[in-house]
Amino acid sequence: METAQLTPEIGESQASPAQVLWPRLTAIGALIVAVIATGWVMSLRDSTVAQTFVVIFVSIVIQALPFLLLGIILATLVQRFMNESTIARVARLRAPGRYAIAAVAGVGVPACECGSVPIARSLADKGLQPGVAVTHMLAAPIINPLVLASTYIAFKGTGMGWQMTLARSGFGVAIAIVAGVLVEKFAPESLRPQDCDSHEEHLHGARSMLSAIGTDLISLGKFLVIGAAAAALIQTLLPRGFLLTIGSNFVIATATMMLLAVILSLCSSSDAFVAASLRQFTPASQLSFMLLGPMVDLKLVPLYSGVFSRRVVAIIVGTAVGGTILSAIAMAAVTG
Amino acid sequence: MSLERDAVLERELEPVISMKRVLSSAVVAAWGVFLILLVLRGGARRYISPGYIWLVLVAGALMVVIGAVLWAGRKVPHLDADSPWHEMECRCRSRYLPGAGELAAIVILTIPLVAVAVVPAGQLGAFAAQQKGLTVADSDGAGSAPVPPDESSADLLPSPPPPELQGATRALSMREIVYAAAFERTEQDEQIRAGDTVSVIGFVSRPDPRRPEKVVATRFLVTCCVADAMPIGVELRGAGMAGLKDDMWIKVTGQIGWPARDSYDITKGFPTPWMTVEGLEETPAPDDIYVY
Repeated sequence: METAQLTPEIGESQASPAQVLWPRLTAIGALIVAVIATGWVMSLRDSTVAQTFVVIFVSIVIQALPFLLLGIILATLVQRFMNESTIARVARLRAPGRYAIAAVAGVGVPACECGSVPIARSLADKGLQPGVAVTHMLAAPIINPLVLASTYIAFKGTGMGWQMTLARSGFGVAIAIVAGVLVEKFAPESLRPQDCDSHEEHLHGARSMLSAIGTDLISLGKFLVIGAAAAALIQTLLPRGFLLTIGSNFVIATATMMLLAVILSLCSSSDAFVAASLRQFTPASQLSFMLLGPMVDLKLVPLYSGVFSRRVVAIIVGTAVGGTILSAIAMAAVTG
Repeated sequence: MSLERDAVLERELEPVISMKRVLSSAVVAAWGVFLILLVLRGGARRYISPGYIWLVLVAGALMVVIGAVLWAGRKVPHLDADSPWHEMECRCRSRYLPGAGELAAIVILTIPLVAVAVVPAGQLGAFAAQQKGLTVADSDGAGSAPVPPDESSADLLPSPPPPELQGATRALSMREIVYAAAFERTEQDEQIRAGDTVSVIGFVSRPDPRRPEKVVATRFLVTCCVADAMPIGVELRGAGMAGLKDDMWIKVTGQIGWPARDSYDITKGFPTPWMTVEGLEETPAPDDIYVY
């Protein structure tokens, strides 16, 4: 009898008919779209364009997914084990100090750019100013030891190993700090509302942690897939050979390399080898490729928008593009 | 009372709960199984550099575990009205039914798996080489007329190959030939000279589809994943090149050559080496499609 009394109450508070219907309609709609898409892809399975698209698309996802997972695991560990007073101590520091520490802390994070996004969210959840978290997020993929080493090795052959490594880390940290300061100043409401299941992160125990990691993986993984699809589509359809023949003039070369960085959506641990191989481009434009790529590309922007407000994403993109151009000009002034 | 309510709620909505759990755990576990099978069956090298394969295997194993945990479900605590999470809880349609966003995420995450199932043998070939463009400079200048074989031999460096290499055909990788064109040495520091007779394996591609006689034996150099693949190759000079089909894997033997050092600026890019073809045969694709 008690059950009979309780059920309608639960029904009202948990799921109205429309609320039950909507996900089901969405599921059916998604299924129809999936079937149509599968049929379309099936018809293209022998086409070279489709094969090229699929292999690039899937390779970006496969390559980035372990790093995203690593980032989510580190973020969950931060969420659970990092002492709030440690974060509070950093948060209480005066402005230059907290940004500098946030940026330099990237040296200890062995994750590429996909992984640094959930870590930043986790730090912000723990009480770090979102702007400072953004600084950490942008700096970490550029100054972690893996990336510094690959940059040095890639450019050693051209005799610019140290110069490129120093320029990349120095300018990268500077851009990350400026972006963080701007976020704090102009975007106080910077975090996107969290997904429904994220409140379970406060539970203890390995099982609930793995469960929270799984939920985050689904939540952020979709942005990675969308970004990888966009990057693969443009890589497949846009003849890069054309872009590579116009690289002699400084302005055009820098613009081309920045555009390539956004389109290719490479991992920051490998982009230096690609930049170094494009020898028809000047060192300044190669630097612009390596600065912008880990901060703004087709797979990162959707990931950012899963965590931050639109205004923050706009500030990050604007600062990264502007900062990269200024850095390239400074580099060109030194290297000629 | 709240405990009783929770008990009823769990019991009443149990069938609905499983829909969300099953979908979430299935997509994560499917990815885990896919990654593990990809590594164990040797298919991972078609997508990423061997250096990253262990990372994919670890990620796959972890995702299987995470999928299993999601399947088993977790205890959802009762949230009091003054709990900081309560408002979020109410804003969400339900913690038991998958919302539209979650469903969309799950569908989106399955797309790469479906794509691989439908187009399993995808690999970069002549089309991609043309789209990506050879990253080494074109040795005879873009748009110029093709150099006939007898003229090309005049471009060879005058120094003859050392006696120990004369008459011998050295099987080289594409990477070694491209490296040699810039440094006249292999990466193992063995000397290679223009005029040496070598053999190399690559697939047929054409930098310019309007010039079918201009053929490059090509390989893709992969640093991290296929997205960063760069085509490298040797231009083939000889009769009958126009008849070769794109994407055909060939083993070519001939004399290699490259421009004299003072005829190009190395800061503008490596020169494309060429080969005066003496022998050409179709060959099966190598186990490793790409060069790492």
